[in-house]
Amino acid sequence: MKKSWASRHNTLGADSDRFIDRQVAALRQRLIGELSRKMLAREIGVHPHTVANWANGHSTMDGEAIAVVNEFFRSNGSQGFIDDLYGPARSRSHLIVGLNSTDICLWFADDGAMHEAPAGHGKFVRDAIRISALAADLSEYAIRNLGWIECLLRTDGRARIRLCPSAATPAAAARARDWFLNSGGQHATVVEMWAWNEGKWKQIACPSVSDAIRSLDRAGVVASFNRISERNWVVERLSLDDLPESPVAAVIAAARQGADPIETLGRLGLMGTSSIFSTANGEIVSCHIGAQLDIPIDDFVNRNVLDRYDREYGAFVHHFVSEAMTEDITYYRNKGVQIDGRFRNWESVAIKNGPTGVVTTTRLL
Amino acid sequence: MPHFLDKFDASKISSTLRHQLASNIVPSLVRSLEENSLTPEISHNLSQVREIHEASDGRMRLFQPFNPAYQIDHGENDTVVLSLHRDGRPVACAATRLLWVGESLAKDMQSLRLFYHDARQMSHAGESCIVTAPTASLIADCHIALTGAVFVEAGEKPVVVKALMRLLHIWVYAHWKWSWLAGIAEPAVARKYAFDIYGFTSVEKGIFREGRDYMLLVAPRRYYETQVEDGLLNDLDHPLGAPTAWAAGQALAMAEAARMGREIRAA
Repeated sequence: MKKSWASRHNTLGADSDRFIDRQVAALRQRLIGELSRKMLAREIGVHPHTVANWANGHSTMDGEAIAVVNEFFRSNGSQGFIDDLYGPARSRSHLIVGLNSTDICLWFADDGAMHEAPAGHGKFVRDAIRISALAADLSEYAIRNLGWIECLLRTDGRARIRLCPSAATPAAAARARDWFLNSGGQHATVVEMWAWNEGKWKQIACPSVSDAIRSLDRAGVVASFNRISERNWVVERLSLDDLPESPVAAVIAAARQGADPIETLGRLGLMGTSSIFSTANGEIVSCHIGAQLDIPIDDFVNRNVLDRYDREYGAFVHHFVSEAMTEDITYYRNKGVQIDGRFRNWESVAIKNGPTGVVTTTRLL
Repeated sequence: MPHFLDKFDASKISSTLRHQLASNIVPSLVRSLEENSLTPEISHNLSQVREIHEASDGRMRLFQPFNPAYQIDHGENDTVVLSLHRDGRPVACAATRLLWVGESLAKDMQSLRLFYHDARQMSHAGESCIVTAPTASLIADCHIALTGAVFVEAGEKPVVVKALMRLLHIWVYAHWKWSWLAGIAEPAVARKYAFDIYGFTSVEKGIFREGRDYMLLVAPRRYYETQVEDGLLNDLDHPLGAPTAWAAGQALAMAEAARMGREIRAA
């Protein structure tokens, strides 16, 4: 693959050993004998798959998970989990790269490289794309179009992150998340996060540094939608004109005439294969999952779809629901999609339901 | 007015094409303008076109879809004007309108709806547009991106109009969904610029308006997408639409295979 031009610049090496590798080692070292993965999952209230994904390096623990797991190990007599993740407390300060009396400007580039921008974010981009364009805000250009994530870490501990969820690459989001887990989070006390969305900057609420890390993690999941094609899944948007005469077509017809789709689905006996999502506060949360869909309902209901352990499918659900919010009704066929370890084929229709709701109904193939 | 780069947002197109455009093609085209001391600026107001028209001493024609006097309520969603400035003074411009075509492009032109926001109030008695260009009848039920108001001051290097048109159509491609790129040009302009400079695939005779003869220029969106995929939009010496080295190699290989097949059958 062609190497990004961004990688021509020096990268900072302070967190070059990957957080996820240390996470895997720290968990595997402890999850043996009586302290099994299942026991940990039960004790901290997550699905065993979640723990398996952490231990196998398929997903990164967020700040909240680290705190809970550390407490579990500590109460079982196993000390030093945090030290294994971050290094001993007394030596952690060196991980704050170049921290001195000035603010630190960092870029997390599309290829996952981290770059320090000592002369400012805009100057770094100007040099990288080799144009003078003094009138232009090149930081915004890089965020919107190159998929880079900007981070400004101030000496007083306030940090600002700016990204474009639809452009940020999974590699950039993962690197930014890992850097905050590794070192940024040790220094930052308040994180202000901004997302470029529909032509405007919108602030993402981040009450804590852990929330910021989780938001970066979610940004990586959204970005992974583009990777679905690499998984040999077939995700095909269909025309509503192609929808065969069926109860689902009747639901759409009723919705177009103003009927409540949930009521119609219930009347037609389709709730078992239907799901309900809320999109309030910019988060897409599963409120109901039909029992006949045969997926682990308890793991997914009342959770942001971007926090699911089946990350690529979570990215699809996010895309599917977001699209229905802007286009009212969408229709997709999915083939060979792996959820919870099993391959499935189905067709689904998503219908916008009120200002913040979306209902989906599925025909298993 | 904002710099082109401040208004360029390719976050809605596929990541591969976005990266191709943002890391390579757009910076290179902006650089080529900077080398001529020109700054590309974006506006969504047709009054910018009128100002340049007024300063052009009659060299620039102002076609109705780009004349603010006939286009009420235009704005960011349907209008983009790219102008090039030197020392704060505009020296070139081109604009595109995003327009919905109903029954057919031919009917929209013949009914004068394409030309006026309110054809009944704004057109004059006896005004007409005769359309015989065949593709105009085929384009229907879709958005078109209609480009016009192209003007470059005398004395500018040829690279200026090339970079201007490429940047404008890249903006239009990245920001709007449309099925056809379209234009209406006088025959002399169409002959000189339509293919290599503006990037249209076909030019058809068949628009007659107010005693003058015009050509219909069109290109489907997919064609424009292949131009981006080819990655040669930044090479201003490469005429738009000319085959890439890869396409030429493919064609040679296919022809060679066909020849081999014939030889094998003959043997």
